[in-house]
Amino acid sequence: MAIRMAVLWLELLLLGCMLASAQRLHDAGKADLTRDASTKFDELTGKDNSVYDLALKNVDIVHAADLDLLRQRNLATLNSELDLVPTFSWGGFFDLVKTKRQQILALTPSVPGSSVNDNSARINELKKTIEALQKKLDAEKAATATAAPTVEEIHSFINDAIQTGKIDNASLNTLKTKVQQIPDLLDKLKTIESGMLQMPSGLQPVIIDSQLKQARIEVDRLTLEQQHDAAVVQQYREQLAVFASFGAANSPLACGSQDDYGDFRFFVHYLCPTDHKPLCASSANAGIHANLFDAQTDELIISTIQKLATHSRELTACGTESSKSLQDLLNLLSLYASIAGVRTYMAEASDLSTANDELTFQIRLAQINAREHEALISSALKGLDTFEQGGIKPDDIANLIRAAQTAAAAVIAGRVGQ
Amino acid sequence: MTKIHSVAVLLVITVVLAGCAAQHAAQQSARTIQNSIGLYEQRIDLLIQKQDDYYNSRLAEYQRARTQLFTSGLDENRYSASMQFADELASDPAAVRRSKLVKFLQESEAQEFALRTSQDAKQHEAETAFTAGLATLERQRQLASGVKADLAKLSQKTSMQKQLSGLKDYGQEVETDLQKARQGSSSK
Repeated sequence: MAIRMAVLWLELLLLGCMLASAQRLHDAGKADLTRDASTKFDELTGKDNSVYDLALKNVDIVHAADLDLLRQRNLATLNSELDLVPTFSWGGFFDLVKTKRQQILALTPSVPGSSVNDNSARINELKKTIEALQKKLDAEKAATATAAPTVEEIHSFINDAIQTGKIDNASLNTLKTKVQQIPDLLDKLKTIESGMLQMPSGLQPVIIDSQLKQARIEVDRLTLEQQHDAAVVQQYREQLAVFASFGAANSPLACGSQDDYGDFRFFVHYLCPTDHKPLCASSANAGIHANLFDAQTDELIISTIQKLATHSRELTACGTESSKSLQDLLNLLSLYASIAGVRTYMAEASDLSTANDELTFQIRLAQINAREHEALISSALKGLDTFEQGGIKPDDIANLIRAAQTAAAAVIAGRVGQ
Repeated sequence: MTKIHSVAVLLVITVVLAGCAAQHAAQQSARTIQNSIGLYEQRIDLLIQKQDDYYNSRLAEYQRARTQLFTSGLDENRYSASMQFADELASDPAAVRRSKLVKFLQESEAQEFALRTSQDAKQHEAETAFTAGLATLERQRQLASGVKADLAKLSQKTSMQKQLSGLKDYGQEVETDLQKARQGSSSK
């Protein structure tokens, strides 16, 4: 009898505990629904299904195709020009170079939001933009370096508090003081961190956990923005280097001018007719008025090459001088091929790449923003799911009764055996 | 109280006391491992930081080298190729042909294009590989944090409510085992 009473008391005690913890009956239908919603949402937002990753891949594919098309177009123009170059007169070639420079200057990249059309003004603007971006980046890096250890400390503290359910007031106050020191530049992060530490002492794990996720996402966002700024600075610098080689002056190439023509200055130097002593000249020879390859304006390029090649065969001072001149001539023509080909391509591609990088950045930012949204929904669904999975289930009561019956049967069997 | 009751009560007390001692030892052990994981986490953090610093300094160096290559290196290559071609033409001036010159100019441009684009691609590859490497380290750190959080739970003193709930689960498992045993004996 005493044993049966004890079993009854045990049943009542366990039932009491369950009621104290749940205080409601379990609803299997709702529990299944919330579990299903939570699982499906996780599936929806899982990495394999990320529409953003797909979008990023597509951007890369389209960009590669754009660049390929650009190069094919560039090569077609280049080859048709190069085919004609040997048969051009020097005068005709100089005109071609002048036209090429004007075409290429029109490609100078415009800084977003600017309306200046002048080439040198654009370059100056690009320089200023680089300087401003670099300053912003340096400030952000310094701010992150100051804030990072504090943020890490807060996260570790909050995680421990969620797990243990305990808050050490002294550490909390120290962290609150530290959060004030997070630079204002990271204002959103500062607000989230401060919000987490201002939570009432009755800890609410689901809310605080979602805030923690939000703070981590904010850190990711700041990191992404900094990476983007650094990439933009680098890209602008490279653009500047490409365009600096074309010179800052807007004026057309002119003999005797002191304007900044960049690498185009070599064409002015070699091709402008000047009074000089001809190559292989003896003391009796008079000076000539021609370009530095001793060619008149109407002489064909291929003829000059043949003339210089012939002189170069001689192992004399004249031969060496001619050989050097031939080398300079070929180098000048190669420079033209480089400008009309790869450098024009790079100038055109730089704008395309800047636009592509901006698009990639926007997709990544949207991905982070979506993750923030997802984290909030996921936390809410998990909270709902945890609630619906709770409650007293019919199985619980059946099991309790069965457990009590088993215990009683075992005790009775023990007595019989005595 | 009969002798068997006294033995049963003593047995239960012994099991409970031994269980408490073992539980305490397990909590202590979880706390120790938690601290070790904390140190491990710090070590990964340090590695991430070092890798980041190292990469940034290397990246700056690569960029300097690339800029130098694009500004003066390419000019030198072009000049050297021009010298070789000038020698070739000088060796047989009668063979100077338009097609030969065009081919030289096309090759020279193609070489510069290949060099510039391959340098860009290499840099892009290096950046991607490094970012992926850092992401792996970051995932490792997150896993370590997860383990640390689990250990924090294990190092907690269990509340009376949780102990009772555990007792209930234990009772259910006993019941399942008993049923299995009964089914086994009845089928024989």
